[in-house]
Amino acid sequence: MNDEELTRRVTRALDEGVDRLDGATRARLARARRRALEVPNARRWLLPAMGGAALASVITAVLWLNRPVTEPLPLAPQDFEMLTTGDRLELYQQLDFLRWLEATEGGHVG
Amino acid sequence: MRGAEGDRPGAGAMDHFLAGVERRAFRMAWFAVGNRDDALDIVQEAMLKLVRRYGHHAPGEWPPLFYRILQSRVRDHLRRERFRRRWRVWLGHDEASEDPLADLPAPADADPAVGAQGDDAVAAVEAAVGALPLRQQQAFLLRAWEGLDVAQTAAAMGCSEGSVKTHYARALQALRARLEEHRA
Repeated sequence: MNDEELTRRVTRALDEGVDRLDGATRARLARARRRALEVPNARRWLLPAMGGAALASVITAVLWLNRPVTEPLPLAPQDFEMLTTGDRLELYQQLDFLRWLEATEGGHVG
Repeated sequence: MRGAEGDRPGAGAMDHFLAGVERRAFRMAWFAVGNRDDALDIVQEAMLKLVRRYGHHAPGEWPPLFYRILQSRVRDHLRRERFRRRWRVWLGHDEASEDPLADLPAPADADPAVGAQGDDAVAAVEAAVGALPLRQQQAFLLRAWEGLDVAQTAAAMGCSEGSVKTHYARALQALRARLEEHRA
């Protein structure tokens, strides 16, 4: 048997072997093929979705960076003094009330 | 050679190609790893990778690319199996000592489906191909069965063209010896 004859004989037998594969194996192969071919379709939708999400993130970032900023009020020297003295804070908390009382009762406080 | 923009092959062409090679690819993987389920997984992975990474290439390039991926997956699988086996031995779960044939690739004639078909010639050929060392098996199946040329086979196997010729010649020699033995 020469090489060509041997090769022909072997490949014919191999072809017969795959033609006789059982239905379950054929079905699994067909399923695997379909799954492989579905991937690009899924990616076709995935790409615009990812693009949309990226765009939304950029817009959010731009809006957040350009939002109107409310600067904190500068600390007045008297406030600083108030915070650093050891006086009781209750006195300062009642200060507005005492001022109102002074205004309404003609200046006789205490 | 990549396909020019605008004449990209469609899903129909890829479906046709994969449908044409899937059974042979499955049999090749099964010969190599000796397990049906693993062979099916390997073919599925190869299909996925071909579609994802090379689907836009010209259809003429698909066969060598597909078989290159397939053979690479087979080698990865066998490497993992070897590692797992060593790890089990190291842990003291030496299954091989319990069943020395457990990890050997299943010869085709040991497959009940083939035996039930009762075709002695097919079973003998499948057993002979299954018994070839991996590189000889790959060289023979890709060259003779799949019809790849020497350069494409070398690319698929990740070796030189000279090695392909050597493996192919040895495979023919071994097949001849086994099949003549079977005839006698």
